[in-house]
Amino acid sequence: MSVKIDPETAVMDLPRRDARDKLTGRTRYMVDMAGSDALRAVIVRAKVASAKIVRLDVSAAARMRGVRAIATAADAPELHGIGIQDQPLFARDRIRYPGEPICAIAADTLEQARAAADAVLLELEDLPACFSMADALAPDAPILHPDWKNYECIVDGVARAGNIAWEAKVLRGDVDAAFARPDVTIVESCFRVGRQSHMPFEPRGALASYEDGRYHIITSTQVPWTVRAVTAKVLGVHSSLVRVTVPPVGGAFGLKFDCSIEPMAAILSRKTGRSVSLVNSREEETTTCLCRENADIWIRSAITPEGTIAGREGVVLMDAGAYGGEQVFLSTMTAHTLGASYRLGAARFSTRVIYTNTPPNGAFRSCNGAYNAFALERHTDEICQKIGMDPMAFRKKNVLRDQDLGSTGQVFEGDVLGPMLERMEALRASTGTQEHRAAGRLYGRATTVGTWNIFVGPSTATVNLNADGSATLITASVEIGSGSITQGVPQIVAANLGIHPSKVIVKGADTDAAGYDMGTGGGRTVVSMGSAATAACAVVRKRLLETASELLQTKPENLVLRDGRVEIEGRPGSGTAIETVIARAEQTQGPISGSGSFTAPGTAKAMPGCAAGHFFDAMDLPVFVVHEGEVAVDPETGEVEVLAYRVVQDVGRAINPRAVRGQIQGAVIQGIGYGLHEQITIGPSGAIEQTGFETYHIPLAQDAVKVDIDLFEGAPSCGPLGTKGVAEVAIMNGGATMACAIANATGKKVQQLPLVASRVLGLVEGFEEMLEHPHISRKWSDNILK
Amino acid sequence: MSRNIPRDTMALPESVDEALDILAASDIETVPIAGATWIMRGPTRYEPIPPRLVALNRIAELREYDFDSDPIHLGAMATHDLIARSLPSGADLRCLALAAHQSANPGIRRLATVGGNLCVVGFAAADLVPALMVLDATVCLALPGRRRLELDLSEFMAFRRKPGRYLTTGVRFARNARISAHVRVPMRDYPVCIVSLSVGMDASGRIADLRLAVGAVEEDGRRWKEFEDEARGSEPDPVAMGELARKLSTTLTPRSAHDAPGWYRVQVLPAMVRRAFAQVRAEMR
Amino acid sequence: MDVQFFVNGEERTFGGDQRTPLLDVLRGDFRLTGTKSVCRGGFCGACTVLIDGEPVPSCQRPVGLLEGAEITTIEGMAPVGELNLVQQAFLDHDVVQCGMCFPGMVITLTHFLGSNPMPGRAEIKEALAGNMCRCTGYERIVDAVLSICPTEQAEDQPPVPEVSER
Ligand SMILES: Cc1cc2nc3c(=O)[nH]c(=O)nc-3n(C[C@@H](O)[C@@H](O)[C@H](O)COP(=O)(O)OP(=O)(O)OC[C@H]3O[C@@H](n4cnc5c(N)ncnc54)[C@H](O)[C@@H]3O)c2cc1C
Ligand code: FES
Ligand code: FES
Repeated sequence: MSVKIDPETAVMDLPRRDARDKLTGRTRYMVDMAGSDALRAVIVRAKVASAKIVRLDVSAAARMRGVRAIATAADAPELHGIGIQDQPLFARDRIRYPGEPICAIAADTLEQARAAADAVLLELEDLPACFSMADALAPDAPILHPDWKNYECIVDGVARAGNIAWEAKVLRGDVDAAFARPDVTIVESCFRVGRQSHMPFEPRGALASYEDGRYHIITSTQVPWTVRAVTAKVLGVHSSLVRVTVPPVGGAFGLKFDCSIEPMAAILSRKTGRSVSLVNSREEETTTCLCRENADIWIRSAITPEGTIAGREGVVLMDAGAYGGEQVFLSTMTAHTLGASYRLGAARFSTRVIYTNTPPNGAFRSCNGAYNAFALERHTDEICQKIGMDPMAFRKKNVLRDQDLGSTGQVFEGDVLGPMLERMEALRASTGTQEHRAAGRLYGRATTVGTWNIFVGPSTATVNLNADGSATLITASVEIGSGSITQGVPQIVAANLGIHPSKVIVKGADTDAAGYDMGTGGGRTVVSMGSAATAACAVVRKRLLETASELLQTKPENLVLRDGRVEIEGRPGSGTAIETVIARAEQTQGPISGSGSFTAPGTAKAMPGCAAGHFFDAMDLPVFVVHEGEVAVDPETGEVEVLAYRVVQDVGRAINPRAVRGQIQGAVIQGIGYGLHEQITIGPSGAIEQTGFETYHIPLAQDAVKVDIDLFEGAPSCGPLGTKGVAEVAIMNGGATMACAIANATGKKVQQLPLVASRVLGLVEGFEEMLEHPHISRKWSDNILK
Repeated sequence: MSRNIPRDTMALPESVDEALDILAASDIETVPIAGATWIMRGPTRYEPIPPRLVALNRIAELREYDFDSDPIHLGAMATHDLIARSLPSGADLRCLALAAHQSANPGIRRLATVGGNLCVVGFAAADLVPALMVLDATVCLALPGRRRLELDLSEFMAFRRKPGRYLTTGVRFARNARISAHVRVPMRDYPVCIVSLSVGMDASGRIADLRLAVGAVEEDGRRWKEFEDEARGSEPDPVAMGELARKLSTTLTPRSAHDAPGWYRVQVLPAMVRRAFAQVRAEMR
Repeated sequence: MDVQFFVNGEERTFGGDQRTPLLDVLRGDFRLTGTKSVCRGGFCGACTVLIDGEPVPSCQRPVGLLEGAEITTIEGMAPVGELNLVQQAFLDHDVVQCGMCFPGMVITLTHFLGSNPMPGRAEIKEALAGNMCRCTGYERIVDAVLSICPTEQAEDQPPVPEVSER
């Protein structure tokens, strides 16, 4: 049956259903749930970066007052990891980073658990360590994972060796020939970025209990199904024995896209038979944050006299920290970020994930795209400077257009970035600029472009119709603050069923109730879960219309669902209330319910042989942004004020424009934080030096600027009703835009993020050291494993 | 007189003497708390909250504030917020009003006290210290044995380093005919460089009388005598003063900390000095 | 020694360690979990409550200091089922995201508007210096507040530092 749904019926500024309780303090997050019946647990963590564990003795700690159980490596025999299974839950025979868990202790009170932690005896033998990627790549570097060859990998045959945990390569066309052309101008740049810490207001943690022989974990996560799988894996139990439920999450931003300490709480709950609450302190949360990784980037381009890009090559070194984690997977994204946005004659990129004795890194909103955009856009501006071309003209000439090839040979559909640049110029014309407010300070403006991918992948949803005309939506999606599962997906369901979104009940994520979902993040929920829900609704609609057609004595094709009624097309007021149809269906065939699934459109294809070591060679659903910022740089203090910020974002179709704008505003300020304020440093012992909000500076209200936003609709999308993910990509060009604008303001070569005041002042005064990246060879063959 | 110390973790004395007795008699680590914004945050600096606290909030003497007299007297419990709201609006006091208003954030300003700001050891960025220094403030102290002592603030800075149990009961500073200013960078979080100054001009408009204090740059805030001596007799021209600060910046020993490297604190100092003199010039017009 | 004080109008007694931050007493002992524990250092403002009518971070208040104090938490900012003006504006403007900062935001801004009924944009932002938010980027919170202020304010701008001519 063909389904006619007018996408416009889904479009509305639907307010959030969870706002009222959040505003009155009644929402219970994971951190609010542990009552007096729950035990409190703490993690004992390594204080050194690299050591052999000679002996761990917890017997004295176990005898301390109030202590109920201690979990150690013996309770968690198996390794886990996203691409490479290289990580134990608790350090077993070797410590690889400061902060690595050694054991976890559950006691009646937190104070007792902490006291017992001090009584744990740990005998260590120091091992050599590497704290930087340059150290780890040195010929005689100590190898963090001597056993690396034996680790289980998600895909076989990927180039790996010693401290190079993973290598992803792109190779399309004859790059050497492009650089050898006599008429090209060659531009080469080096960049470095520090880590970015998510600082969600709710830290990671879990409340676990052991019920009827199964683990029940209440956790603050984006990935309930991953928590289920990893917990089962490390404990060596069947995954059906783990149930994960997720209350509203108090901020995540990618940090909670991995299982972290949940299995520890699970072990302790089984050992004690009690509920166990394990929550990171702010200091633990900050010093073991799975940050956006630090990275070193080298990029070189051959530019023709016409101002096109004949060839481009680049090397990206991503610091994984002590374990591969997300970085292994994210190495794929160089091809689709640093290698994207612009039309390239020939291209090659090597992305290496490097082990160091530092806390592991992870996923953060737009992940490595945020710094690859910085590198790409600063490089682009350096090209323009060198060839004397206007940066906007260069971008208009070179951005990917309809049927252009991406770095892996993927064919891009639709002309998106070009028109978006024009829309940016129009937006600027309508808002005006703020140069006058620079008032004697150095003024700079920059426009940058970026490409990101919506991570589709498996989702499933069930929709039950209730006798009262409401629908219950059952999924494993999580409300992390983005509104995708409390606003976006219900709007899609409502449009499909002709009811108001307030009539769509959203069941909180529960792996016992809902089927598999890859997780809430990567901009995927509205697209993947929205598609799964659409498929579920198709089943429901069919049953509904068939029943109604009997009732109303007309063919199902003539019926439409609208305003809670089933009506005959073209005859408003005809037909009957949806409740009547539901009641009838219950009597005749049983209640109406449907399930649907989705994974990927499967249309995007790379050219054979262009990509190696990638998790996907082509992007299923590319998404684009154009950002523009205006800054005033105080030349005497290096302080930067953002005077104005404009965004043109490819959103497919904005079904909740107000909420989309809210996500963009929030993400841009996080991106400005990445560009200007947020600095993580690794100390001499490999530890993260920032311990919380005092030392890690997220933007304050006074650092924020109101973003002028133009939503670009209509670009091709496989998303339901033409939607795309909107919340993730909006952060991507914050760092890039700050860097380019500051370079323009100061006339200096900006190579590093974050641009904290002392770095900017160093640039202005000329004592910021220029990066050369001696650990990245200028010879391509040295940058790839044979 | 002295009564049995309760076995509680917090004592709530009603007088200065009672508080000192408790401090003196205690055999475990016992510290006074005023606004408690330094002490309560201890755990985030890996310093546990001391086992016993002596709350100063019930001591009437520490809550005596005389904003309208000359000299002005502020009991130690005067909060940053109270100071910012209640100080008379004269140009001589502008440095202190700005220092109190620009520190921390509104919630902390409602709690943090002048006594705490002066007494906290190991905090280089106390905003009120340089402002009170250029006002020639006197710190009023109560010592064990019912002794009272008054020290010039600079002397007090040295005194407080020595171990010993004392209470700051308040600060006192006279009104004057000078013009004052206060500048800090950055405006958020802790300052990494603070300049307070108070300057009087002679009939020809030249600097006759100058006090300039620098905070957050060295381990403690201090009067920058090297600068004061050189500047005397010059025109209070902001640009020239900034240049002088640059020339003399080697006389400071900056500290490096997580929020800024040492060189940065010294590098921004000339601009801070210039901006402070620009405030003065704006006031003169 | 017990401490007695009022929480949302109700008399409460606390008999534990007087150094305990009010934050932990509210959340742990009284299970008033609307007050959030985020930084525990006076920086984020998520733990803000009214003590005798003044918004202060409850993580910085040892409970022993609070004998006789009147404390209002987010749960007491409006009768059950109702919203105050600020809460309503946040709801109407759809500004909430993860929500963790909002208890503190509501308390700070409700108090602020009480003494500054006609604030400008820059003043509101200044008032939020001790209330961090990681999700929203602040500006829409400010818009919502401005929407309930009696008259439209001219866009005031933050002060500009004095820079020397180079
Ligand atoms: C978020 C935040 C931001 C901050 N920003 C700033 C800033 O910008 N500028 C700034 O200057 N400060 C800042 N501070 C530091 C602030 O804690 C101190 O400046 C404050 O003045 C301390 O006062 P208090 O009354 O809270 O001290 P308390 O914590 O009560 O005491 C501090 C110390 O002084 C001792 N003490 C207190 N009163 C007396 C007394 N009367 N006699 C003897 N000893 C006494 C105590 O024993 C303790 O050792 C900030 C603090 C926070 C939490
Ligand atoms: S938890 Fe109290 S201010 Fe952050
Ligand atoms: S809404 Fe998440 S911290 Fe403000």
